[in-house]
Amino acid sequence: MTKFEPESQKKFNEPDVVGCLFHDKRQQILSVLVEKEMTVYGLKTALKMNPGVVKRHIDSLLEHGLIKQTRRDQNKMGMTLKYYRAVAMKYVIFLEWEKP
Amino acid sequence: MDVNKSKKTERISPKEISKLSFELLKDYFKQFAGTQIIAVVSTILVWMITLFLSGSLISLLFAESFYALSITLQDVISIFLFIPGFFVFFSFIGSGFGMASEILTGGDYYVKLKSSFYYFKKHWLGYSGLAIINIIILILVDSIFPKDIYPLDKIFQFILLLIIEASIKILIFSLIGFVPVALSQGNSFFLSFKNAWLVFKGNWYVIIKSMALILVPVQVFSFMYGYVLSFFIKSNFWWEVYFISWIFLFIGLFFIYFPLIFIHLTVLYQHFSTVTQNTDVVK
Repeated sequence: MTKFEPESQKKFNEPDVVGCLFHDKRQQILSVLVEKEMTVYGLKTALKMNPGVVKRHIDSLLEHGLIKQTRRDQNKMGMTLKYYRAVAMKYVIFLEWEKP
Repeated sequence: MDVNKSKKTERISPKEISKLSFELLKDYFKQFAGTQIIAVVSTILVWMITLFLSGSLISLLFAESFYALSITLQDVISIFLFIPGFFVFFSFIGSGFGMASEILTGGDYYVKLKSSFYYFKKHWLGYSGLAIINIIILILVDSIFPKDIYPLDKIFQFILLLIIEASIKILIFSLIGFVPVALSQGNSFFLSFKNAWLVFKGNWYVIIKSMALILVPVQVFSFMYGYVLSFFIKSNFWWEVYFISWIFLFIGLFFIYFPLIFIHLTVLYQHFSTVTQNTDVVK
């Protein structure tokens, strides 16, 4: 399986995606996922967040296409874990207003 | 891929397994305690409904003559009335195994409280059947080792018998306890017994040691608290305090200790079925 590599930069202009990005905890999660792929279990440990909160934000980020599930693996405990990664290294918000 | 394979066959220590079980309980305490509450509330509701409906039925069938029936027949009818409630109780309690399995196998280390209803619906018969098997075995073990017949002057024999009894219970919990986990993970009722046995057979020493780590401290504490302490209580006031403290202890056991056992058994099964998955366990 080829390793997923995020794009260097991605532009977003959809209002709901922009809204999704403007959230403190989602930004924290994204900042980790930009660096490396991680699981909900790893994120809750790294960010000291409730796993339910992490899962909720991961679902939201997935829904808006800001992150991607890269693989599914088992750790040494036998726990099945889904790995997530940011789709881009940089997120650019692009807003445009038409002249009336 | 070789790295993955060697990672999967690596056995972890009982201490690491216990640490993960406690972490899971800490993260999902609300969901597990919620399931226990649902079990209690729904059981009471079912009992109320059955008693209400059967009350009408009994008065219709027997009119005033119910109390004229033989005691045995009255007992049989009463037991039948309580059976649906027990089924509901054990099914919800058993769904704790399903929830723990979902956290470990779902991929997102996550479970919702409403999952307990899903496992209840899917495995109610299996969970109840297993609970009945467990209870019968425990009653048999208890009847072999009755606690009230040992005189105090034979305290060492008494303690030795207690240790033997506790060892048998740990063995039973370790062996039978895997069956609802296997059932929750989609195996059929009989295949669950087979898989539980295969996992236990290959790793029995570590499994018993891990179970003992969780069971022994609480069992010893309960014994000291429930048996030894009772010899030192003289006044009525302290008996009342003692009784109330037992209620709190029971609540603690019910909401914290029981889910911990479910989680621990699931973690153990999941780990050791992964370790032995290349050999026997039918997935």
